[in-house]
Amino acid sequence: MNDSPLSTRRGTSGVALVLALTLALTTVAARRVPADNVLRDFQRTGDYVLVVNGKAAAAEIYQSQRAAATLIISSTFPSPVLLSAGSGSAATVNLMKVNKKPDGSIDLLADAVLAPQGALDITDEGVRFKADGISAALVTAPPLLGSHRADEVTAHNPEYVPRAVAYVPNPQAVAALKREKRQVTVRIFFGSWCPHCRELVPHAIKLEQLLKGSRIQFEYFGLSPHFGTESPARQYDIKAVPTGIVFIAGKQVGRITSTGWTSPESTLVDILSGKAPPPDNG
Amino acid sequence: MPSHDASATPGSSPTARPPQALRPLRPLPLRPLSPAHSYPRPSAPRRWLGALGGCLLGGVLLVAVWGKALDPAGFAQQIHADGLDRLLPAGAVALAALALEAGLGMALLLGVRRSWVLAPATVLTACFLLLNGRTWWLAAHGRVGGAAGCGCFGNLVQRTPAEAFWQDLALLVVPLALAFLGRDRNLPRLPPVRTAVAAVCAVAAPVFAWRAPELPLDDLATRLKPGVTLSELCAGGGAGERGGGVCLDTVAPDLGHGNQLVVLDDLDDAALARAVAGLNAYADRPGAAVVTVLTASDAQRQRLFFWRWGPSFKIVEAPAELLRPLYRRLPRSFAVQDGRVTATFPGLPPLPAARRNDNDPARPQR
Repeated sequence: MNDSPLSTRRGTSGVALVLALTLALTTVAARRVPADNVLRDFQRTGDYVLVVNGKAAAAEIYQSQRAAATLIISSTFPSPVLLSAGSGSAATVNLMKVNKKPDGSIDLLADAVLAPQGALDITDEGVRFKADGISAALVTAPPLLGSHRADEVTAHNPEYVPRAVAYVPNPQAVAALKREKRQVTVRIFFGSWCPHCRELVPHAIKLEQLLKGSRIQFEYFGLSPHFGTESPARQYDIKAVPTGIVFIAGKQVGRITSTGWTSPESTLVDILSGKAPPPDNG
Repeated sequence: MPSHDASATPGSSPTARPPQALRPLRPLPLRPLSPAHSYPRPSAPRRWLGALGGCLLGGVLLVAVWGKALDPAGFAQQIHADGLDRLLPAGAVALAALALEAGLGMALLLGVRRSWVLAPATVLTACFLLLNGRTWWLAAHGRVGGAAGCGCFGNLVQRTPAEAFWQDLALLVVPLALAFLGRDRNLPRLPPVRTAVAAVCAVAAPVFAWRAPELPLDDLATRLKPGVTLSELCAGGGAGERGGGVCLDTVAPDLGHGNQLVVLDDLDDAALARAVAGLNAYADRPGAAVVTVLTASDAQRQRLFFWRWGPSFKIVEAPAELLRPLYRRLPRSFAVQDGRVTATFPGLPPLPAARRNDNDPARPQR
């Protein structure tokens, strides 16, 4: 089940846009112009949705903590739009000055010229701006709800991807899990809005990639920020996210919670070998 | 005649009133303060057990007073959370409770085990147990988070609601019951010196609590102090627990590596907003520590803070129950080296001048 409206806006236009951008940006990277010292390290974020004329528009949204800025690449605008927090201003930048790196992050090149587009209007919901004569807004992304595959989760929360890549699981534990003969399901209850899930769920995503072909399957179940009073969380007695419930042949045998997420593969080995304590409430 | 007085002086004027006769004084119907052995003296073992119980209970109460007086704001928050501030402001209730607890604790420690001490001590113990029992029940029924604070010992001890209940039962009820044993009623009710010391203690505790936030006692009053590791800073359970609890190394795993400078603050704090430029400049310096703000402010306030002030440092959200035991007043800052706290600072960190590295607050300790 996918309750997120985001699935509708990631259609064919988005794919075409990404292909075009990849081609253009690869050309730029080949020019070997040094990156700007500040306007760099833009990472994909799923925190926001671009809204134009009241409708969600396809966009790749990047955020740089170092630059305290957000970069929007969308077919809605002729050029990428840079929103600078603090100074509260919008500017456009030539697409050829956008350098996409192999890890998916973006730097603006040192000779990039910013064309001022006016001030930002900061609201409780997000930020409104105008670029190239088009009024738009960045609003908080709705939570991803219900059961999803890992690729759907990372599509909604692209910031999970670099963290999953960076995570190095315990190789002995992974090897032990690959030898598991029973049919194991790990259902991970998480919140796409939850900052701790941003840190910890990528560990499970990396583990799932490494366990591909084994008898251990992963499911991701998105909860709302008010999950404590809602039925999926009440049914499984979820008190915190992320919580991973481990099932063997449909029977709950353990939970991954709290510090267990630091090394989920080791926690999973303990649960499957019966060393972990009985399931708690997470 | 009733006016006739047989004691009138002979030869006085017949018109003058005769002087009143002096009647002997009658004692007031009160028990003497120091009666001569009118009660049987308890046996020595009972007296020793009772004295031990009284001293233990007094000691426990005084340790609790110390913990709460160091962080009166935290104690007042606990009183507010428990709904005990219906009649008086939480701060006033906190000071009154500290005075009572300190006076009783000192009296018991000095061996005063008369009913005027034991009766209020019993009421106080019952209140502690009721409050902790209620918190435990609420947590067990999902009405409050399991990591909700248990304030009887301030921030010096971290306990779950169930632990708090059973620890109070053991630490308070057993000594209290013992304190009733072997009371020697022949001793004075209000021994002057010991009563005076208890009274001074009852006055001194709230005065100390009133001034304590100004004193440089943050490391003593909170769990955050040089030497602790992030995995030891937990809420809702002990360090290294498997379930239920939350520790700082899980909430902010990036703090476990390298050189970090962390600011604890509320994102609505105007002082933090004013400091953003300085923190940005520090964070941008080559070789500087990674700057992180730890806050209990929600996602919406984080977004507003980002867009309004443009921080180039990381903002990490953490549960309020985890952060509250780490400070007495916000902001508070600390330096971390590979997951271990190396220094703490009251307020915002003392940032070095732009071109100097000598006074870097997050410089690794040698």
